[in-house]
Amino acid sequence: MRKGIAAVLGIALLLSLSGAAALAASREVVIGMPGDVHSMDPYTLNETINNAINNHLFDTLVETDNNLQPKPGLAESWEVSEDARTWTFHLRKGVAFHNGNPFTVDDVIYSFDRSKDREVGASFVHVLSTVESYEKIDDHTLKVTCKSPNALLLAHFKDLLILNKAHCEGQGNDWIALNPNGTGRYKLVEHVRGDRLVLERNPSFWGEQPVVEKVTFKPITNEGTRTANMLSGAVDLVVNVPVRDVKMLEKNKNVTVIAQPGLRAIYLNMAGWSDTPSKDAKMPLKSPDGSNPFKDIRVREAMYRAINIDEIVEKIMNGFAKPMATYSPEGYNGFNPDVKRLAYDPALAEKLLDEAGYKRQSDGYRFEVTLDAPNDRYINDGPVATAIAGYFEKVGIKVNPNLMSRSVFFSYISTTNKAGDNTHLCMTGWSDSGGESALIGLDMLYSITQNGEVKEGYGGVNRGFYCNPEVDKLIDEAIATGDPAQRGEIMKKAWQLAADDVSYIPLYFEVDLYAHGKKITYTPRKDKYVFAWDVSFND
Amino acid sequence: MFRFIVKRLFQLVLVLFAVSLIVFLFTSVMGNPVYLMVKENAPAADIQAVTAALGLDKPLPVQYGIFIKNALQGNFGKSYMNHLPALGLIVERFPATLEIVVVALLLSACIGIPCGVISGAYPKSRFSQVIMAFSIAGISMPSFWIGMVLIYYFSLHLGVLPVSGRGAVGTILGIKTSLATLDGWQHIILPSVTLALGTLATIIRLTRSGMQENMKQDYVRFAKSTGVPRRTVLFGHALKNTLIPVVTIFGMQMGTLIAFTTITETIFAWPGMGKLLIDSINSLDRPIIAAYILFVAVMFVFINFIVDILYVFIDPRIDLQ
Repeated sequence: MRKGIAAVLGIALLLSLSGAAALAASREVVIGMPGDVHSMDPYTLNETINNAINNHLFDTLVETDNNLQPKPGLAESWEVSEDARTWTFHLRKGVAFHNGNPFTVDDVIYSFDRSKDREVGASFVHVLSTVESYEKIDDHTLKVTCKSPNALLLAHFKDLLILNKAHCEGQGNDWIALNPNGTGRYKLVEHVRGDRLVLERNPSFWGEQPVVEKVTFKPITNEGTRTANMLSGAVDLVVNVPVRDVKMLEKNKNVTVIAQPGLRAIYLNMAGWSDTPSKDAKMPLKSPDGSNPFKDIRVREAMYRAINIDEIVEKIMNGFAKPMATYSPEGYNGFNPDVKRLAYDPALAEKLLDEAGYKRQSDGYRFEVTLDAPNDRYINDGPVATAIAGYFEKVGIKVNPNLMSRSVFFSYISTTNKAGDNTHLCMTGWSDSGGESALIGLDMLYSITQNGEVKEGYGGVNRGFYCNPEVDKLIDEAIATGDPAQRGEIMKKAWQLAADDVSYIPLYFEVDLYAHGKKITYTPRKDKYVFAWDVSFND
Repeated sequence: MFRFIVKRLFQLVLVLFAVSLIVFLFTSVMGNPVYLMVKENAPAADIQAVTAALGLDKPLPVQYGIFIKNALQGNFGKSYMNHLPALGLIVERFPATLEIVVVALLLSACIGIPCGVISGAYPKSRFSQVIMAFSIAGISMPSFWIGMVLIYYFSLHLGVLPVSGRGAVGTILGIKTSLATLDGWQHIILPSVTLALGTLATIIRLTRSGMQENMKQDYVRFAKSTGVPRRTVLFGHALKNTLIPVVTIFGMQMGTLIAFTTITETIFAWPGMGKLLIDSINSLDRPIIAAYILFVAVMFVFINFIVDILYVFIDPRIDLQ
C-alpha cells in the first residue's frame, strides 16, 4: 500500500515537473494546422500549408507585407526598365544558408531552374512562363528579361523560394526534400510525418529576429479535434476553426477568435458565350427552343438577382462570409468600389426571364440546367450550392444539383479538360495572393474559348468562357503598366465592364477563422500563410 | 507442416494478384490525381506533361504491367503528394498503429474473455445483464462518436488526458515506441479504448455464446458432478472448447484494426497508417493506396497463418493438412 501511494505521488510529481518545464520555456508556440507539410522541397507542391511552412526555412527574393505589397527579401533592391521588360535585382550580401554556405546569384539561378524542372514537380513550372531569360551579372546582381512587358513580375517572384546550389547539386530529389537548407528565419529540428514539425529560430538570419524561439506545427485534420486542442490549451493557435465551433470557443475566456475576410472568392460561372455549352455533359442544358439562355444578359441578371446572398451568409455560413461584388478583394490594386452587387429581387428576376423569352412552360419551368459544385472543397460548399439551386427553382429554372468530391470536381470543370467540356453552370472558388487585381483578371476574366486559350497562360479559370476583347485589352495594358496607380485605374475599368456584362455571379469571400490562447497575440496574413513571426507574446 | 507453409505461400501469391488487380482498377477510376497536383488554371500542356510523367497516358493494361513489374522489385512508386517512396511512408507509420492496436487488443482480451465466460456461465445474473447491455452499446456506437465523447469528458471536462497526438517516444528493447514513456501512455489510452470498444463487445458476445453451448454439454456436467472446482470447469474445460472461434475473430479483428484504424486515428490525430490511408485517398495518392492495400493483404494472410497454427495448440485434434 505504501509503495502504491509513493508511486502515485511520484507520478504526480513528474506531471507537475513537466508542467513547470512548459511554463519556463515560454518563447515556444504550438500551432494546430489542418494538414501536414508534404515536402520540404518547396518545388514539389503548390499548396498553402506547404508553402507557408517552407517559407520558414527558405526565403524569396521578394517578400510581401501584410497588405500583400512587395518588400525586399533576399533581393535588397531592384530596378525596372522603362518598358517593364528588363528587371535588375541587387541581392543581399553576407547572407548565409543554415549550413554556413554563402548565398549568391548562382543559388537563385539554380532555384529558378528547379522551379521549371518537371522531374521535381509540376506545381511551379508556370511561375516563370512570362520570363524569357535570367542571367548572372555578378555574384550579387541578377538580370531578368521578360517575354513581354510585365509590371507584375514581383508577384511571381514571391512564390520562388531559394535553395542552396552547393548543397543540392548532385543529390537526389528525395535527399533534397529531407535535408532542407535555406536562408530562412527558422531551421528544421525534426519532422515526424503526421505528428509534428519542429523548427527553431535561425540565429544568423539576415533580417529582424522573430520573437518565437521554437515553433511546433501539429497537423490535426479533424475539425472537432482542432477545437478540442484549443479548448484544452494543448495548442496556442489553431487555423481554420469550423464555423459551428466559433460560439463555443468565444465563450471560453482563455481563447480569442479572429475572423478576417479572406481572399477566396466563391462565385458562379455560366457558359454564356457559346451556342454549344457543355457539349460533353451527361446532363446538358435544356431550353424549350434549344437556345442557350445564358447568352442573354437578361437571363444572367435574373439569375444574379434570384439569389438571396444575405440569407446564405446568415443561415449557412453563420455570418462568416462577406458578400462580394467583384472577384477582386478590397484593398487590391485596381479594386473598384463603385461596382455594387445587384439587389436581390426575385420578382424582377421573373420579369427579366419573361422578357428574354423564357416563359414558364406547362410544367412550371422555363429551362433546365445542371449546377456543378464541389462538396468538400470550400466551407459549407455543398449546402450553399443546394440553397442556390433552390433560389433558381423559385424563379422557374429547373436545376439538377451535381455535387462532387474535389478529386473529381476540378478535372470535371477544368477549361483545359481533355476529358470533355462538361459544365455550363458551376459554383467554385479562386484566390490570388498577388495583391494586384490584374492578376485575378488575367486568370478569371481574360477570354478563353471552348477550343483553347486565346493567349497562352491567360483565362485559365474563366469557366464561363466569358469573352470581351475590350476587357482583354485593358488587362494587357494593366500588366504592361509600371506605375501602380495608373495600373489600378485601368483595372477599375475592366472590373466595371465585366460587371456590366454580368459575366459571372459573385457570391462571397470566405472568412478565415483562427483561434489563439491568451499567452499570445496573432496577426493573420491575408494570404492565410501562417508564419511564426506573426506571433507575439503578451507577457 | 512444410507442405502447409508452401500451400499458404501459394495462396498468398494468388491473393496478392487478385488484390492488386482490384486496387489498380478502383484507383484508376477514382478521379484524376493530375488536377490535384497542378494549379487549377494550369494550361493543357502542363496537364499533359504531368499525365505523361506519371505514366497515366498509357493504356490501363500497360500501366498495370508496369505497376506489377515494379512491385515485384519492391518498388511501389513515389507518393504523388510527398514525392517519397510509398512503401517507406507506410512502413514508418506502422509502429504507431501497432501500438494502439496492441493495447486495444490486450484490453479487449483481458476484459472481454472473463466477462464473456461469466455471463455465459451465469446468463441470468445481474452482472451478466449489465455486460450484455454494454456489449450491445459497444457494437452499435460509432467510433467517431465515442472518440469525441471520450475527448470531451477526459480531456476537456476532467482535463486529465491529452486531446490528441502521439506522446513522447522512448526505447524498449531497441524498439522505439511511445509505450516506453508515461507521456506516451497518457496519449495512447483514449485512442486505444475507442478502438477496443467494438472488439471488446464482439469478444464478449462470442465467448458468451460458446460458453452457453458448452455449459450444457455432458462433459461439463460430468466435471461438475465429480467435484472439479468451479473455476477449473469454467476456464479449464468450457473456455478451452470455446476458444477456436474467439481466436479466429481475434485474428481477424487484429488485421482489421491495423488496416483500418482510419477513423480513430483521424479523430485523435494519431500519426499511424490509417490516417495516412485516408489522407492519401483524399488526395488520390494512388501509389500509397495501392501499396497500402497490398501491405494489408500480406498482413491478413500472415495473421491467418498464425491463427491456423494456434488452432493446433488449442485443439490438438486439428490437422493442418
